[in-house]
Amino acid sequence: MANKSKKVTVVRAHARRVTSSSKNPRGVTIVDEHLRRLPGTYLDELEIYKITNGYNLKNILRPSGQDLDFDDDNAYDELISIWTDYFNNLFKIKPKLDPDMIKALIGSESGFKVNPKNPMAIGIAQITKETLKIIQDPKGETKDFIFNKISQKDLKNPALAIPIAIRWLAYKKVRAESKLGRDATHEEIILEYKGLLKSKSDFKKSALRKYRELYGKLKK
Amino acid sequence: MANSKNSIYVTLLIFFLSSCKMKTVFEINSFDTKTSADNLHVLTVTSTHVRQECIFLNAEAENKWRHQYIMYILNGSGEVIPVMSSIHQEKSVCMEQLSKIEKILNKNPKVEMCLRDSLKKDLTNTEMQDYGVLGKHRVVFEVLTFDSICASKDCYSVNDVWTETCPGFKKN
Repeated sequence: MANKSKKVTVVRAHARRVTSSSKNPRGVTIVDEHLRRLPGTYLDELEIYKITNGYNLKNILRPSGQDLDFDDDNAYDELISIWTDYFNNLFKIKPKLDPDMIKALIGSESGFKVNPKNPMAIGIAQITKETLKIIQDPKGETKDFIFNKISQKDLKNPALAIPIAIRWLAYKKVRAESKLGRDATHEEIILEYKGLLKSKSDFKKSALRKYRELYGKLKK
Repeated sequence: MANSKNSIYVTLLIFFLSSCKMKTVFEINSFDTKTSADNLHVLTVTSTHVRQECIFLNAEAENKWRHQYIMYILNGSGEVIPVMSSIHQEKSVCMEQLSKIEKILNKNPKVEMCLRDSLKKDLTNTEMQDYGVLGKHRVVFEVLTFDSICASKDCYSVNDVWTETCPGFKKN
């Protein structure tokens, strides 16, 4: 997907100075050999803030400001536009992810509520604990580009949850297209995000209903 | 004498039947929101005309947790209106909502609800709902979104994310 160049490097075992203690009076510890991901192949909290705050907002596509009847429906438009643009460019996504699709998805998942009552999925984008694990696993499905040191608590912060949701949606687009063998429509991508693309459930249509209604309003 | 007795029985029977008939309540009034016409509905219905369940959306591996609250309301014409929670829920959250609504339904013969979205018929739906003594009835409407249910002093709402709610109802 994104970067085909080298993503990790080996850091050899080395000494590290630490605060002296009775157990370690010399104040030196040995760090074992480990892998380090190279910059540009992952994002951590600080990097996410840096990108958000320094993003060039000129010429980026914004989601529609159409009123969706939610309390905070337009509060996250800037975050949505920045991170949709970021991942569209990073992964060279074609056809591009549409910010209206992201906005309608968030509305359908949480009604733009930062912390809806739901112990298994967290935050505005209702990311599951399982997804959070996958999205940070250097050997997992999204190893091309992962997040680092993001906790479950962080998902209650839209500034972190929205980039993660969009990256996850970009991955779901690829997965839907590989299942379908063609470009996926926006509704098919959303069904894949909701885990329902190949489901035989009778409620597939109902699960999509809220998204469809919100997306329709945004496109008016 | 026998005739007057009979007429008293007939009168009583008519009175009994008409009072039974009057107990079945279904009334719906629609209201506009700032952005959409007829998008809020205040519905009064007999509690026995309401069925509810937590459905499991048969999602794939990583999303197997998804449950959703759904309510089926039988209208005065024997047609069923499905109503859902606006977001998916974990099973325990869905069951908690179901049990709170169940209490209101069991305690009160008649309830008032606020429901959201356009009320449209979906004649392609063949789903049937079983209301026991009231019989089996077809779901003929598109699904609405649950906002609130109230009866006397009891209320249960999940409308905190919305800008507006139905007239006479409180926003959380």
